[in-house]
Amino acid sequence: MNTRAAKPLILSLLVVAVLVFPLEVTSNYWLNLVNLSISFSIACLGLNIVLGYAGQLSLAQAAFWGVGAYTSALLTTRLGWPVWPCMLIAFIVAGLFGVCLGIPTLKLTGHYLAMTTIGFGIILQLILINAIWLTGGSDGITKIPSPWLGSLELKDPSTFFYVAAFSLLLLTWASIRLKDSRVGRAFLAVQGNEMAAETMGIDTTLYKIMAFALSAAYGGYGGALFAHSGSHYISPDTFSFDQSVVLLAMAVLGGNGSAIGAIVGATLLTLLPEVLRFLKDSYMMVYAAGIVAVMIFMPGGIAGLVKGLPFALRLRAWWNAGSAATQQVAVSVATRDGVGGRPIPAKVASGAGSNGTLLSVKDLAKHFGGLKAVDGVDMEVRRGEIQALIGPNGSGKTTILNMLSGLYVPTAGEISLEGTVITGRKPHIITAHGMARTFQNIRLFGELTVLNNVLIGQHCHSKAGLVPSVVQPPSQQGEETGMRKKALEMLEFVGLRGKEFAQANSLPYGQQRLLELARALASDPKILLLDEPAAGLNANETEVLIDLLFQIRDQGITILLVEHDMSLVMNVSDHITVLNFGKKIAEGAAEAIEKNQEVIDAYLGTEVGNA
Amino acid sequence: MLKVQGIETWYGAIQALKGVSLEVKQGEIVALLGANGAGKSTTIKTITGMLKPAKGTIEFQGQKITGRDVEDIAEAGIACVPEGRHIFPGLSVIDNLMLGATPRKNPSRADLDRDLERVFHLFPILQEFRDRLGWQLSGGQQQMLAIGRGLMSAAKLLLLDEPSLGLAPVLVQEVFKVIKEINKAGTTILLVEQNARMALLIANRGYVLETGKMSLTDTAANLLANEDMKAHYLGAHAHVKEARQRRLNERPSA
Repeated sequence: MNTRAAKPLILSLLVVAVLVFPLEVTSNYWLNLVNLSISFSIACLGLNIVLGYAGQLSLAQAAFWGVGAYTSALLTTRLGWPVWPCMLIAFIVAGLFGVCLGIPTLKLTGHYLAMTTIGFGIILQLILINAIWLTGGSDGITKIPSPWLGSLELKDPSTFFYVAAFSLLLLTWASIRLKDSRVGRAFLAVQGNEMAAETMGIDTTLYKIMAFALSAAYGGYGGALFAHSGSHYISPDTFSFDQSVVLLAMAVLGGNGSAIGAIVGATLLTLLPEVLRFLKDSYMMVYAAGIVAVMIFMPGGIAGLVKGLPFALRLRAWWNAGSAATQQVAVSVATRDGVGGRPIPAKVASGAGSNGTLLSVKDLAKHFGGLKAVDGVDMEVRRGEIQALIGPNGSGKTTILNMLSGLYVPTAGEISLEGTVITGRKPHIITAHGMARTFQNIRLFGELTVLNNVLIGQHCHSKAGLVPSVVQPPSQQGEETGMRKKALEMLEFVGLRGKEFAQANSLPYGQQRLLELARALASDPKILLLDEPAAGLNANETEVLIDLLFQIRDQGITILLVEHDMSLVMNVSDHITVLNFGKKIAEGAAEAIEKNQEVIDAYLGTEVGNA
Repeated sequence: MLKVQGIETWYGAIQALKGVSLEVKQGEIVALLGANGAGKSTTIKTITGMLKPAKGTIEFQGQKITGRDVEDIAEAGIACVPEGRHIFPGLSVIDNLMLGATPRKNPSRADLDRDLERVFHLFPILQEFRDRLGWQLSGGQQQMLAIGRGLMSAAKLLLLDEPSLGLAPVLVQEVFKVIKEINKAGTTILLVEQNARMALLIANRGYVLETGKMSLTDTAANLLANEDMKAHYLGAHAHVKEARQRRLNERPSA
């Protein structure tokens, strides 16, 4: 059986299971509990998007759950609107509240973000209690209607179960699809390494807001389901900070980043207290001890535990093999000495061959307090050339690269790329202008696969927004297939083909450097900034890298590199700029630099190249 | 002093070390060489206790240390300067150095001051920047700090994982000189290096790892002269020079 046939089969099995469930479980008590756990599950799916995908801690999920519940309850009871559209409106209104929380909290991370979300949740609960004219205050809202299907009122727990279960199926499907799409990968990149994500062309601010909004919308829909089921009554005390913590526990218990895990966590924590009720007074203690034990012994949550089982590993390998086979990438494989060096697939950058200035830097300076890391540097990088930037440790080389790529705002000076001034622009905008880079201390998305790293590299040249990422119409599938094909070609180029499903941080150091190179090339840059690409490579691996650099240059991509390995620098560079104490001390061709006494004293030492 | 016998280490389902044995004698500098992914860093991590071997034994000064905790092994007298520095970015240079002394039992203030003085003597820049925070240092300065921190533990055996990584040529020469000095002062050294030639120039002996197994071991002088080594790890220097000349000739006249 192939993976294409598996998807519809799994879906039909799930549909049958949903249809049969209320016929098998007839107790209204249990059905109500299951409906409640589905409501929690959907809220946890949302939490899983903001926390598990985008890595932002939110402790306000119960508040969004409440926004959804109140929105739908108020519209149906006060205005008498039908239930179905109101549940959708709850989804949207909660999402808007998510945006409201997202925007002011952009600048915050970690504990500060978490504290702000707590504050937000508490304020919302206070509004629910005190805005009596709107919410009914502490008395809450009673007699919330049930949805109607034709002439049938879905009031019975067994009939409402279908509403809840099919909503859950749909939203789970959407959230799983999202994870393996352009938008989902951008979320994962934000979680993996925000700085690297920015330089991949991802507007991290925008994606964080998007994650908050989606998470809140899921929470709101879960809340609406809650309002229209069970006791058909809601009151402010349900939507407390405590409940947010419980939702967080559910998501974390299930396993960070796994949609199915979030559902399992939510279901377990909803049903477990009922199962443990026979323990009478001590049941809460056993319940709490159980949660603590799970957290200690299963750091990856339930999903993490299951993923590590031999059966799951085999299943994953089979699934990956299946999806790789459908790619059918025709790349001729003729590996020399078992390492890299295939023809680079990138299009020849426009204007290749013409020898004008591509990147120009004028009087650039960066001061950190009293430290003048870079102090008035002029530099020009000509199109189609390889230029090296060398100098002693601490002379300001990486600082210059950081200013070029937008990570630092210069204290003074001007940077222009193809005549466009890019000084102080945000990294993702500079990337879109055609600048890509690698990092001295490798900044891969370590938890993600090799393939996903390269796919994220193509972010700025792909378009799929939120809805196409989930719905995946044919046009979007075409884009995705194209991206995968290109990613595999890039991996072929650097010699990492065959490792596409390996986790990036499981690669040895040298291969991680090559992966960073592939990821940077994937953005189709006009100029590539490389920060010590040969660090950690031995002499032979460096020779392979030299070959790659020439091939990249021959495709019309300009290279600016910082490197200490003189066997590489002196070999590949058309032009060398030497820095010392933040100032330029020499400039010229390799031969001249090698003989420059000032450079020898400050940097090269007596044994040139020392190899 | 250190005796590693037949260690096998796994990363999940992947076997990184397939029976590695090596020995470091008191007072030696031993180089551990090999391509990327051969298992050099894994060997270091297994010795320090960060990774637990599935098989094999590690003895240090006649005592079995296999499977002991990282901090136990550090207290026994093995210090490690990890690949990629791993200094504490939020702490000052001086705090980073002092933390290096953690494994020592009740050191006297005078001893600490003397060792600190020695580190500052080796790396004057660290003295100049003693109050600067770790993240404010450049990559090369961080590397010096990492080596200095390793020295502060006054270990009997120092494991150096790629100490020349990211250093300017003039500093690489400096660092290798320092390693030699540290060794002369009585510290035994196990050195992992990509810069095989430099490493062998200061080492007594060398081991070559290939896909998780020892493929070659000999005195440093013999390894430097070994044709296989020249071809695979030392970089056929003449060949590189030749290729460069060819490329210069081929290049469209600038």
